[in-house]
Amino acid sequence: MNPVKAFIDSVKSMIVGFKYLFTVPRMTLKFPEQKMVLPPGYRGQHYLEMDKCTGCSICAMSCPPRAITMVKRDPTPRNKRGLFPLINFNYCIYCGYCVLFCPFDALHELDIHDLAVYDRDKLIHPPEFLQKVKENPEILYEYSGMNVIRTPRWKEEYAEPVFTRRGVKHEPVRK
Amino acid sequence: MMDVAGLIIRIVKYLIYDLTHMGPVFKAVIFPGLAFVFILAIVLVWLERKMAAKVQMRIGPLYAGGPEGILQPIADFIKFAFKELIIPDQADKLLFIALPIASLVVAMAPIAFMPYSRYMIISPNPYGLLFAMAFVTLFPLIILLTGWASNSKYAFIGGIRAAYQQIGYELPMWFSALGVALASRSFDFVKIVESQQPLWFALTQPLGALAFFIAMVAEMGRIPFDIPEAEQEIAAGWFVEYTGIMFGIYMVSAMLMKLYVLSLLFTVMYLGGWLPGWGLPEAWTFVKAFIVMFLIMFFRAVFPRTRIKTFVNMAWDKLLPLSIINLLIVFALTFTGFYGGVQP
Repeated sequence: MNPVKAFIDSVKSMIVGFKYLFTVPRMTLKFPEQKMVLPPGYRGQHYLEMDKCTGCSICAMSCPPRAITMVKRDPTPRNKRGLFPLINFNYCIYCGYCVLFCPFDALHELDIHDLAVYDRDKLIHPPEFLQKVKENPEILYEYSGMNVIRTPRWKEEYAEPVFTRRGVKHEPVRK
Repeated sequence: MMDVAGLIIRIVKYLIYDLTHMGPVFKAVIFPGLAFVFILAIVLVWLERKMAAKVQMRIGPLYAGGPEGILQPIADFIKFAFKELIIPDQADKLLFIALPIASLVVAMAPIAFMPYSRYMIISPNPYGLLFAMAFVTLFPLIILLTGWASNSKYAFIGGIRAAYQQIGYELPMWFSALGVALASRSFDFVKIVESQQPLWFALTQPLGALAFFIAMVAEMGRIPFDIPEAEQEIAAGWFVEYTGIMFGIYMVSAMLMKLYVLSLLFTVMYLGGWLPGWGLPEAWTFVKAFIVMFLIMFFRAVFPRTRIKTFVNMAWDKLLPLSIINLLIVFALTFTGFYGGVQP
């Protein structure tokens, strides 16, 4: 290799590095305070509409790691057997099959992904709990015992989407 | 008893006089010596991490107290201090414990000979350059010994890589330094600086300066030549078996003290030390050394690592001829009286 060219290339890379020192926006988000705006169709914590569920158990059958168990609750006119899904997030791989296969559109996924707990039993979410998650995400953190750390982040402003800032585009979700 | 009390009073009086009049104790303990160097080390750790983070679109230390996490190095030090010290069963225990301290001593010893100005020098010595270079050269031996004393194949690989690297950079470094000594006709740092009066040696001996700079970065074990402790390949390399405060001492001695000492050496040898003679001379030396340190830390954020073979090839094929040509040019120029002084 030509040493003069190598030297010039090194100097060029130094100049690029020096430019990055001041001008380029930071990729890092200060997570608990700032939150990334996630792309549509993100697969996170599940949310169940209990009045839509008929207890057909297709979600439990389609679940590859068998994270979903059907549990007995009070029967409703729509769900005469009273079977509702209970999700064990220790096993869940967030493949989204339960949501995809649900014939009555009762299961959904939210963009909540920080499900850290001190006790693994707290990752087993019963149907009543799954129903409340959408309106009231704080119950996740109260339930898991991490409410002290996590509660403030819902009050902070959301960060500018990093993906769009760096020119990454997401395919729109097919309905 | 009275004699002892009198002695103590005399010592205290001497110390007060010394510290207020910039005597040798002040120099060794406060300004070019320990306190200054350790405060500088803390700032350098923070600066290096923050700068590398900024270049790589990250944020870097943020939460550890003060603005922009400037207390992070202190937090790291406290963490190291409270960690468990693990000494491997098969290790050579005496060497294993003694070597971190020896490394700190060897890495810091050249500071004693390095002048900040004509008078701000801990130990004025007519052979300062030789002493400083000797201590700098000693460090790879400690690396090799550490690799051997740990009795671990991974540490030993790191030690062997350091020895292999030293085979490459050692000769160009000494030949370049010889050019400086020949041009200034002295091993005394003060005379070396003062003989750069009209033009720095970096300008009159550019080839030697380039060879010395590259060899110096290799000696520091910094990217692009951090072959002994290649983080991504062999974890910490030669000090992989160390934990807790011993690891911290190695980080300080190998990463920071060598960076500081060699940057100062380069400043004094090639960048004219405290020249031009106006203003505060110590400030001139420090600013120049700081710019060299900043440049070398900046390499870490920008460049990849060379392979061992590439480095040793480069050192023998390019650096050694470069430094020898430089030495011959300097030798020829001394006959013309270019560097002043008495002609041989």
